[in-house]
Amino acid sequence: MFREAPLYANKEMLILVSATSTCDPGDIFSTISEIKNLKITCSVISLSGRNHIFKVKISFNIEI
Amino acid sequence: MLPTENKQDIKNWDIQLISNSIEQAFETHEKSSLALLQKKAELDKVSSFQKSLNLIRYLYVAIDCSSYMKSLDYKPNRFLSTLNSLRAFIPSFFDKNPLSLLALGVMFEGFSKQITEFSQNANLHLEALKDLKIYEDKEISIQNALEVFVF
Repeated sequence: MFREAPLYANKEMLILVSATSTCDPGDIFSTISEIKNLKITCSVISLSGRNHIFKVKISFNIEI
Repeated sequence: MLPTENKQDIKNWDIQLISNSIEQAFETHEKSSLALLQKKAELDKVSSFQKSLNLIRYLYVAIDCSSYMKSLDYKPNRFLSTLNSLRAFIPSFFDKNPLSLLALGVMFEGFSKQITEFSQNANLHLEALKDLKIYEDKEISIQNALEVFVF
C-alpha cells in the first residue's frame, strides 16, 4: 500500500507489541533493509520488554 | 554664532554620545545574537526526527492481538489499556496534522491483516477498534506486519 503513497509523503509505521517473540516465515533482516531503502520510519512500543529486533528498527529512526 | 572651540566640544560630545550608543547597540546586538544562537541550539536539540516530518504523514498502526495481551500488569488489562490510549491518540493525531492519513492493522496467530484503509475519518477507526478481540495464540510475526505495510 505504501507504493501507492506519493513520494513527498512521510511514511511511518507504529507497532504495538506485547509478545516477547516473533515467528517469521523468512528472513526479517531482508525486509528491514527493504524498508530502509523505501525510507519508511518504524517505531515500536513494547509493553513487555526489550527485544533485539526492535532495537535494530530504532536505529533506522536515527539514521533517517 | 558659536565660537569654534564650543563647536569642537559639541562635536566631541556628539561623537562620544554616538560612540556610546554604538557600543550599547553592539552589546545589545551581541546579547540578542547570543540569545538567538541559544534558541537555535535548543531547536537543534529538539530532535532530528521531528524536523524531518513532512506536512503529509501516512501512519500505519499495527496492534498485537496475541494472548500476551491478557496479562494484568497494565490496568485493567494490557489490551484494554492500549485500546483506551488509541482512542485518545487518534482524534488528537488528526487535530495536530490535518492533512495526514492513518490506517489500522492487527497481528494474530502469525498472520497480519489490515482493518481500515488509509483515511482521515477518525470515527471509522474508532468503530473498527470496537470489533477487536484477543486471539488465544501466543505467536505473532512482525515480518508479516511489515510486509503488509510495504506491499
